[in-house]
Amino acid sequence: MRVYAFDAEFTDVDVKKARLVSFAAVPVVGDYVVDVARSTYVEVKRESVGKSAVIHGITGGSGTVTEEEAMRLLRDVVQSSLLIVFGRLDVKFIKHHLKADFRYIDVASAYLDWVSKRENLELYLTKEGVDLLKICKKLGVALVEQVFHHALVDAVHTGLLYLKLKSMGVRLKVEKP
Amino acid sequence: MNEIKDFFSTSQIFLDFFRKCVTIIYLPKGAEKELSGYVYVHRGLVEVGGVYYESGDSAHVYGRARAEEESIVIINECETGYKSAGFRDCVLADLTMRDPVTVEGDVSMREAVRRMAEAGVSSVIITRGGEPVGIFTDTDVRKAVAAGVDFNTPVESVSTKGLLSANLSTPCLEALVYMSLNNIKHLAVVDSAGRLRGVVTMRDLAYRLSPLPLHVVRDMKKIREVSELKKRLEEVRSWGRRAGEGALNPEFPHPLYLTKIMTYINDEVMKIAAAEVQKRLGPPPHPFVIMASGSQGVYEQFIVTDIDNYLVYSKADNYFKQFGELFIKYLIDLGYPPCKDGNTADRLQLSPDDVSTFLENFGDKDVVAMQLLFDGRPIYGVFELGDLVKDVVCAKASSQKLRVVSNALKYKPPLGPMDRLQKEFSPKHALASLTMPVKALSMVYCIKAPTVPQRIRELGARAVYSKDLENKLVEAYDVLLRLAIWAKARGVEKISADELPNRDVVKAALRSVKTLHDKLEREPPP
Repeated sequence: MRVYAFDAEFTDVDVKKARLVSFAAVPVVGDYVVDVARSTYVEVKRESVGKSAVIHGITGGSGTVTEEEAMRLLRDVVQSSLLIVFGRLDVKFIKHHLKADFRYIDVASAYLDWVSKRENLELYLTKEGVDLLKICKKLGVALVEQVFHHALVDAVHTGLLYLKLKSMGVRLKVEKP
Repeated sequence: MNEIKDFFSTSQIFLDFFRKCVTIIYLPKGAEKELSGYVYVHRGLVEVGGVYYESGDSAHVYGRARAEEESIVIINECETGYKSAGFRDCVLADLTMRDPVTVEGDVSMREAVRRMAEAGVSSVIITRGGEPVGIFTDTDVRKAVAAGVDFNTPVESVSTKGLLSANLSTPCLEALVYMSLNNIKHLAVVDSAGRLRGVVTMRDLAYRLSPLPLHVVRDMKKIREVSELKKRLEEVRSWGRRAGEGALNPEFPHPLYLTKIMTYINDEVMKIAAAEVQKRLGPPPHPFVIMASGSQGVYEQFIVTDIDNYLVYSKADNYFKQFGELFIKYLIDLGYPPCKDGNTADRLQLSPDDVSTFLENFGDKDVVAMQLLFDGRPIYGVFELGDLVKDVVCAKASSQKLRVVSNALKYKPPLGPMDRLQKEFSPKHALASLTMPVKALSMVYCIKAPTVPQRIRELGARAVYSKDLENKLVEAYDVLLRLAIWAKARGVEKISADELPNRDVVKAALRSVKTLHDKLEREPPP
C-alpha cells in the first residue's frame, strides 16, 4: 500500500459546502524518507477558489487544473493508499465527495493520545491548541519558523511528524474512513 | 542549497524547486541510511565515511550516514553531475546522467524495441502502475527473435531477467562485481528514497573504470552546450591531474595513450567551437582550415596550459579575421588559457602562398615559427590546405638544414659531468631535448607523421641514425613524457633528482638523447 502524507485546503470548513482549493500528497517511504520530489501537488484554477483562500495564503492563482480534473486526480492518489493526515477534515471531505477505498492515520489524534498519557489533555489543549507547526516545533521536526498554510508545506510536516511519532513508538492507529 | 535555510518562504519559485528536487530524510539518533547527492543538514549531526556534518552544513555525500543526533537531512536531487574524477572513488551517481526509459508491462515487444531504438538505449524498464517491476534488454530481443516470439506479445512476458538495483552511492567496482556475480549487463539505480534514477550498463562501467577517460570521449560526441562542455573539460582536467600523479608507476599505461585521449578531447572541443562560429558567420567565402599546433598538434597534450593553433585560408578575407577572433573567444570562454606567445588562429592566419613572407615576420625566430606550422594538424575545414603549408615549410627547412637542426639542439639533456643527472631540472625541458631535434629532423626530411615516436621510427627507417639508437629514443620518449606528465600533474616546473623513484631509467633515457645530440653536432644532416 502506498503511504502518503496528505493535506488539502478547502473553501469552507463544512465539508458538504466545501470545494477543493489545493491538495498535496507526499510519499513517505519506510521509516525515514519524505519524498517531496515525488509528491503530487494540485492547485485548482483561481476562479474556483472561494472566500477562505486568503487564509491559506494561496492567492497567486498559479493553479492550472479545473476543479473536476483536480477531484479526479485526488481520487487517483487516494485510491488504495494509506493517508497520513493531521485532523480528520480532509478524510471527511474525501469520504463525502469521492468514492474511494483508502485507509488513514490521524497523527493529531495519535499525538494527543500520547500527550493525554503524560499530562492533563484539557489543560494542554487550552494552553497549546492543536497546531501542526507548533507540534512539529515541540518535537524538533519543524522545517520553518512560521508559514501560511500551504497544502504542500503542511503535508511535508505531517509526514515528518508521522516519522517522529513512529520513532518514539507512539501508537499509530490505521483507520477506515 | 543555502536557500533551504529560507525553506518554504512560500515563494513560488522555491516551492517549485522543492517539489521537483527535494527528498527529506528524518533520522532518529543512531539510525543509519544510505545517502547520495547534494545534502543539507537542516538539523542534527550525521556522520558519513568518517566526516561529520552538522546543522547548516551542505556537501555532496555518497555513502552510509549515521545520525549521531536526531537529524533532518535535505537532499537536493536536482544537483547531479560528476562527483568524482578518479576511478577508485567512482560511484553509480557518476554514471546516472539520463532518465531511465520505461514502458508499461502490457505494451508490445515491438513497441518496446521501437522506444529502445528511439532513445538509443539497450534496455527499457518495465513498469506496472508506474512502479518498476522488470527490465527488457537487447538480450531478451535476441532470444525472443530466435525463439520466433510474436512481436505483439506483451513485453513483460518476454522479459527474462528480474530487476536488480543498487543505490546511487554504490561504488562502481562494487556494482561491476555484483553484475558479474548475477550475470547481468544492466543494473537499475535508485536514490535514497528508492526512486528509480537510471540504468547503468556493463559498458558504462567498463568505460568509467578504464585507466583512461574513455567515458568522456564517448560523451563528447553528444555534447553541444557550452556549459556542459565546460563541465566535462573541468572534469577531464581534474582527472588528468590525478591520473598524472601516477605516471611514474610502471603500471601506468603508455603516456601517449593518455595524451592522445586528452588531445582528442581538445580536438573535439575545437571542432565544436569552429562549427558554432561558422554557424554564426555563415559559410566561408573561400576554403580554409583550422590547424592545432604545439603539443596538441603532436598528440602530447596532457593538461592544457595554453592553446597553439593557426588558420590557413586559400584567399584572404575579412571573414577569417572575424572567424579567428570568435573562435579564440569561444575557447577562452570554455576555460582555455590564451597562448602566451600569441600563436592563435585570431592572429596567425596565412595562405600556403604566404608562408615565406609569414616566416620573415618572425625574424630570427623563424625556425620556431616553422616548427609551429609544421606541427600543425588539421582539425576543421579543408585539410589539404594544411598539407600545402607543410610542404612549403619542408622545402624551406631542407634548404637550411644546419640552421634548423642546430637551433633545435639548444635544449640540452640535463646531464652533468660523467653523465650524472643534474640535481634539479625541468622535465619539460628534458622532454624538449628529445622532441626538438626529432621535430627539426622531421621538417628537414619532410616526415609528416603526427606523433614523435612515429617520427623517430621513420627517421630510423631513413637511416638518419642506427636502429639501436632508434629503439633507445622511442624508449626515452616514453620515460621523459611520463616524467613531464608527472611534474605537470603536480604543478611543478622543476624537480629534484632525489625525488625520482626511477632515477636510473631517467638517466638512461637522457643518455640516449645525449647520444642523438652528439651525433647531430658531429654529423649534421647532409
